[in-house]
Amino acid sequence: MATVRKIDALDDVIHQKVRLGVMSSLMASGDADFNFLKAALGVSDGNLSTHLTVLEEHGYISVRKEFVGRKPRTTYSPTPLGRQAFEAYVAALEAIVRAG
Amino acid sequence: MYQPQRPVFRVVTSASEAEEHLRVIRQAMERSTRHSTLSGLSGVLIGLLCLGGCALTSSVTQWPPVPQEAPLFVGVWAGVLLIALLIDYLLTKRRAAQVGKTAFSPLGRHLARAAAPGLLTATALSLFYLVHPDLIGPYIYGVWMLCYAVSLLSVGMFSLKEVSVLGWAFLAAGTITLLLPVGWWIGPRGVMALTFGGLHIAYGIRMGYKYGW
Repeated sequence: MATVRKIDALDDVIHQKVRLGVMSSLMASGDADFNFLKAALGVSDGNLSTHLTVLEEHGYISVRKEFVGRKPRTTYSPTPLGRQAFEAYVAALEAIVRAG
Repeated sequence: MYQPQRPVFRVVTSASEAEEHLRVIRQAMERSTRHSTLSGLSGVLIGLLCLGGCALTSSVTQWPPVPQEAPLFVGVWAGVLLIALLIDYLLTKRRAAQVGKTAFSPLGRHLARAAAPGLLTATALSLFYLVHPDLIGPYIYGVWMLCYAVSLLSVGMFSLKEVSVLGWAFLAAGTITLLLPVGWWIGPRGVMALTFGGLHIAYGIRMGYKYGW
């Protein structure tokens, strides 16, 4: 049975696997477009879109829309707030694992 | 101090849940860097270009190098380097667009910074060769191989394992080139063609088939 502990630093905006995957991916690569994230995380368009909207609404990611040739392209990158939240989240997870 | 705009904190979680989330983070980060912007076609073209450089220097300069030909020798290879950088820039940009990334993402800039010390050292030693061609002339190819190996191994720490393998191959080739006698059968020119030419082509084909051209 895993140890259950109280923690006051786990951010529910990130604490969802797809959103966590998006933030991890963007932290590793700096920026990425919709198709890249979809392929890297193996999720559907609708699912990814929903979670990207949540992250954007909370100011964790910024969105850049442009045209490459005639094709529209949307690129996402983590904001300073998003980076800070992600780092705090990882630190909280590590603290739990160490304590467990 | 970090303050989320709309904080919704989880009150309770478990160590096993935390471990699972750390695993998700690690996996997502690995997948993101695996979608490489390194171009297989770039490796092949740069290899062919280096073979051309070997052929050209063999036809216009002597071996072992004579001091008065040093500017011509370095000039040819500087031209090869500039064309190689241009090819790599254009094809990396093209490859990045294919996989939904930008060539100059923070990761790309990080890789460029990792490559810089080895390449700048090679540039400094090439300038030294121009000023004192009699001192390191026969060893210049081995020196370039070792400097390039340092760049590749630095980049390999943040990139795909194929880059590290290429780096170790250059390190071995550079060491062999410097330690064996100047007049041995294949000679530094032959190793130069095998490494900067052959290894780049083999690397490019491997990258192309495995990750895309």
